[in-house]
Amino acid sequence: MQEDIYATNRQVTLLDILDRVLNKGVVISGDIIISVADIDLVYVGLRVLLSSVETMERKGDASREKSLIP
Amino acid sequence: MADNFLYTYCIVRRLPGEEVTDRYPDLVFIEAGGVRVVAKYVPPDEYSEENRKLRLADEEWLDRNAREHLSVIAMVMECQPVIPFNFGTIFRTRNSLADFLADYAQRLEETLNGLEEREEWAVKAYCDEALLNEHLHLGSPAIAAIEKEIAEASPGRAYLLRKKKTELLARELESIHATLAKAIVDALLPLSEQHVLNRLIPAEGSGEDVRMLVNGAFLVGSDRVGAFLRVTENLAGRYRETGVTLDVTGPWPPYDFVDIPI
Repeated sequence: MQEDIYATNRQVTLLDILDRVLNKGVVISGDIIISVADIDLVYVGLRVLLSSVETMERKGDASREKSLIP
Repeated sequence: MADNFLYTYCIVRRLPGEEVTDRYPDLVFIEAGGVRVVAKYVPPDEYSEENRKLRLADEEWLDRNAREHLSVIAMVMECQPVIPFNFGTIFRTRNSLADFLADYAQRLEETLNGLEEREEWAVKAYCDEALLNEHLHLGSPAIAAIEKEIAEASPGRAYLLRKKKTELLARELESIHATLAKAIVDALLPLSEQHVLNRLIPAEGSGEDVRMLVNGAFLVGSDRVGAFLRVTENLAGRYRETGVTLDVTGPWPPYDFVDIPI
């Protein structure tokens, strides 16, 4: 469990964590480096769904909510 | 080991202490350009293009690994500033990582200096739309006036007036959201060194009439965290009856205050 991070009256959720650790910090692109940053976070009622860009494209743009960082 | 990839957690100045290495014995520390990277070796196939997609769709894998990524960084940053890597950042070789560190040495050093004795705290504010709507009906003279008009109007005119009332309500709600969001952020600014307002996460499909008003990250001096949290508690108390709730989490690795475009 996540004991390092404090949250008011609740557990730190996967959404909280992904909200921070994806598409932020040092984001590196380039062919010598691999990153899973090329994925989108999809928020449905404050729950997170995560898909690769490819999966998202299959679902279509209409239902798409981009990650927190434009 | 030579063929393994390097999964990276964060950049630091000093070697983390035994409390970190005891708990995460697989960690390695790659040194170059005056800094060190907290990393671990991973088999290439674990993060192959194909496997990555499968794993990201596996919530159990994702939960475990995202939490581990965060836990390692959180433990390291208890004793020194860190520059966190995005979850899933992997270097193919030790040399490629060392090259990266050397190329950005000055930038990394400046960033670490700026993060010394500072913590990232996240503050999200939500409002209960139903409750806010109710307050609007009770408190807004403009709404009261139009309701009086509707009650006295002919059916045709009442229809048009109702449409007008809906628009008026929406406008007033927007303005209240903006005012509340500004009041909350403004109250936190004096206690933070920097702040970032992230995109609001839409609540669609939640089945609840809850709307996000603020999605902020604040960089707070370590000695002011107590005061910062007290302000959030006061804000929560002050706005509770309005239907506003505050969600405060931290200290996070300073993800929102690292700007190294590569």
